[in-house]
Amino acid sequence: MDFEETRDLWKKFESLRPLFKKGGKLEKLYPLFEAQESFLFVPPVTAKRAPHVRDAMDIKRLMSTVIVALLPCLLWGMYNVGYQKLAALGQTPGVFDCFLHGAWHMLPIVITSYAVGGVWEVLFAVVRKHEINEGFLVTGMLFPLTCPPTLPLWMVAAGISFGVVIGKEVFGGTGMNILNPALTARAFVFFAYPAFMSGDAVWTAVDSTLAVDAWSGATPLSVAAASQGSGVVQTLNAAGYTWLDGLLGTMPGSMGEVSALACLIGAAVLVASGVGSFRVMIAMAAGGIVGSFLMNAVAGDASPGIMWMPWQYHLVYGGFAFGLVYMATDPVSSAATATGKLIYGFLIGVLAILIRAVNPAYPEGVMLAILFMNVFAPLVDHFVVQANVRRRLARV
Amino acid sequence: MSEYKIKRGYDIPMIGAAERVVEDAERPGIVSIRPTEFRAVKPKIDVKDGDKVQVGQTLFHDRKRPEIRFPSPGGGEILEVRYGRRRRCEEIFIKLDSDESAVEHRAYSPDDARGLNRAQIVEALLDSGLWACLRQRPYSVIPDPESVPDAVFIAASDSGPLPFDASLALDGREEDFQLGIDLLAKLTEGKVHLCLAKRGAPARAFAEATGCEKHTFTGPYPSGLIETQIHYVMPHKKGRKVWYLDCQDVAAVGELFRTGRYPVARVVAVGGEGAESRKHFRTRRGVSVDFLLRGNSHPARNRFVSGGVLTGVSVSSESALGFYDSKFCVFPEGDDPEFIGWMKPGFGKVSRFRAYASALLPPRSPHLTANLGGGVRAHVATGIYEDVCAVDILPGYLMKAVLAGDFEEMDALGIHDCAECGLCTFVCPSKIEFGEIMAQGIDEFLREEEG
Repeated sequence: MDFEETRDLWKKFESLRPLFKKGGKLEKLYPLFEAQESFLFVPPVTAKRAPHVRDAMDIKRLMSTVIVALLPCLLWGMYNVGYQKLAALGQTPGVFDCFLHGAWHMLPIVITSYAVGGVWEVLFAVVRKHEINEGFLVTGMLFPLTCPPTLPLWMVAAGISFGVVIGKEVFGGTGMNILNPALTARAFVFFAYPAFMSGDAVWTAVDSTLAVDAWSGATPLSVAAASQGSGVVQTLNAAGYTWLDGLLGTMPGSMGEVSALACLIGAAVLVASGVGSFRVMIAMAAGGIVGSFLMNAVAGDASPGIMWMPWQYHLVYGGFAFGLVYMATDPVSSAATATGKLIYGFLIGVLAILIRAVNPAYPEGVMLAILFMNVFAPLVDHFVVQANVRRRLARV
Repeated sequence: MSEYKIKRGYDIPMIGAAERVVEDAERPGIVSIRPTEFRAVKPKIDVKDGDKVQVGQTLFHDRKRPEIRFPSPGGGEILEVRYGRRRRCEEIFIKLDSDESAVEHRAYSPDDARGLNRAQIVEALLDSGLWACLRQRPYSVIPDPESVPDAVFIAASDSGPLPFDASLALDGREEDFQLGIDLLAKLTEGKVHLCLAKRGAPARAFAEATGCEKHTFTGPYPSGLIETQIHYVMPHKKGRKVWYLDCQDVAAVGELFRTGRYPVARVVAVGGEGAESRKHFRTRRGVSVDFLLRGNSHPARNRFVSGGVLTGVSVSSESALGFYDSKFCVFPEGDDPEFIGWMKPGFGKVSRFRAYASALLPPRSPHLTANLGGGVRAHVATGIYEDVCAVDILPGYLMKAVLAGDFEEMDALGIHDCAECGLCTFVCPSKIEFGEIMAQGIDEFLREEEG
């Protein structure tokens, strides 16, 4: 579209603006108007005071970069959900079949999450009279990726509603929330409907009565948690889970979380674009490694296998990689200072392994570790801020 | 001589820097001065339309501190005292006579001038109006003549986009510059600090300058900003006050004592893609935008900024070069809607984030305008403020303290350290007016100080 056409189309939009302005007939729908217009056009608004030039980055681009970084997880999830299903049925499926079956189970969940969460987002924008925040684009995608493919849609709707309303809006909306809204949604579903979020049966989109005999549906983490002693790697291999499976993500699990490699690609996008904090990612990985060594050191013969599991397995299994790349780095709920991010990330890593190993009832420790540190992030920041203040007072 | 390497900051790629040559500009017919550009000054106008004025004659003074006067940058007739809303005086225009007369102050031989004591120097600076070229950190306000600063800083570098080359400005003014340093040294009990950029050989005036401590700075913008440099050399602490001024104003101080006349000469860089002739011009204080651009830049399409693009003031085409400024920047206004701009690859876009294609393929002519680049949204603490902030503060927390109006917190978090470099506002993806919020905080402190 050339310059003149753009200008004309924009003018048509602007001619509608009075309808949505204060006193206009559709005043209440202003956030929708603003969202639509700013979706189509970078507004022709210029700086009123210094600085007279501005960075081309806006929240839309920021959030859509995260969506781009999530695509590998989404695509792999789609493939893997289909693959796990068809494999459980005893078939050797082609790639296209896998995608088709995966999409059949996955897309309704993603669409429900966006639709229901989107309604809440608009509702709050209208009532509170602010712009619709693009951050929801990320929340609405993150949440379904952390769910099992068998989750009923009404639970998806309940979960995302809880995440958006209680996790974000009650605190004052985007930028004000303490907890990561997507994880809040997942935690709600996890605790409210445990039968649908844990156990071995939920991770593969298949009716267990139809599955082949050899199929167990157990995730590597539950295999490790159920085993005993130092032979955990052999146990995992015997169950059909190698380290490479964890890296690539050829195993049952939450839809978007299974592939550490997909997360790694996402991490590359986030770090290269400067959108995701490399500090949080590196620190959390370091914390995970330290936590694993810690657990290995205290594990005894009678300890569950998960305490014996080497660090490189911890990092690729379960939601560790996904949490590290997409959840812990959420700028709003993570620590805000550079030093704080290192501490915050490290503690999430250690805690995640600790919860995994010590409390086998929650094989997924990453979610709880991140939520826990979300709560403590302001405290971590407080100490960093105080150090800065003290440096200032110490000046001679 | 000490060296400082500044790590954090950002160099905004912007095309159209002024060439490193100095050309003599013609003599303008009209000059002007804007009383609005002096922070915390409440101007009382002393002239009216049609008055005859001499170079250096007081045009207005500060209501609260009448000894601080603002001299006319030209001799001739007051063309217009322009008032804006609420009778606020916005600009005073002077039509120049062909033979300008100047207010005559006492002239000294350099040796006699060097023999003057502090009180005499202060009095001469106040009398001539050249006092206004001094500013004080914290607050960046014109200092109180009664106070004694802990140091005097001379700004002689520019690391911003479309830079002004300070080393070109003092050719032939070396003696005046040195005399200026010697006189300024008497104003303080501490030292005079000369802050230079590392790159390139320093101009003769700087290389040969004595009686001052020289510092060099490297690194991205704002390494060349005097407020940043002061932070590294003598960071703010309770009770500390330092004064600073531009290197051309140091030469002006020397010239004032040598000639007894208010000096109006000034070298100005004209840059930006909207300017046709991008050079340094030897011209004078108060010269108008239009005159320097020779009317060749389209006022409807372009933005005219007096001073740096990150710190300066947007002015109309007939308005003047700012009192403290040595450069004009002219670039596209960018007030056109861009169709799905946020979705495009963005080959020409400028961003500190690397989420546009321009991060992979640095464009030859980056597209930079005054456009905000997106809608205003709730603040999201991405950590980008801290990544670009060159001074030791946590800008996000400081911003919250200002918004909460918490004085103690503002002070503790270092509002007096903020160099007001403009980078936080530049990079903010939520398009928050960080600079405006900081300025509000500083204004509140100023009001508090006045009682």
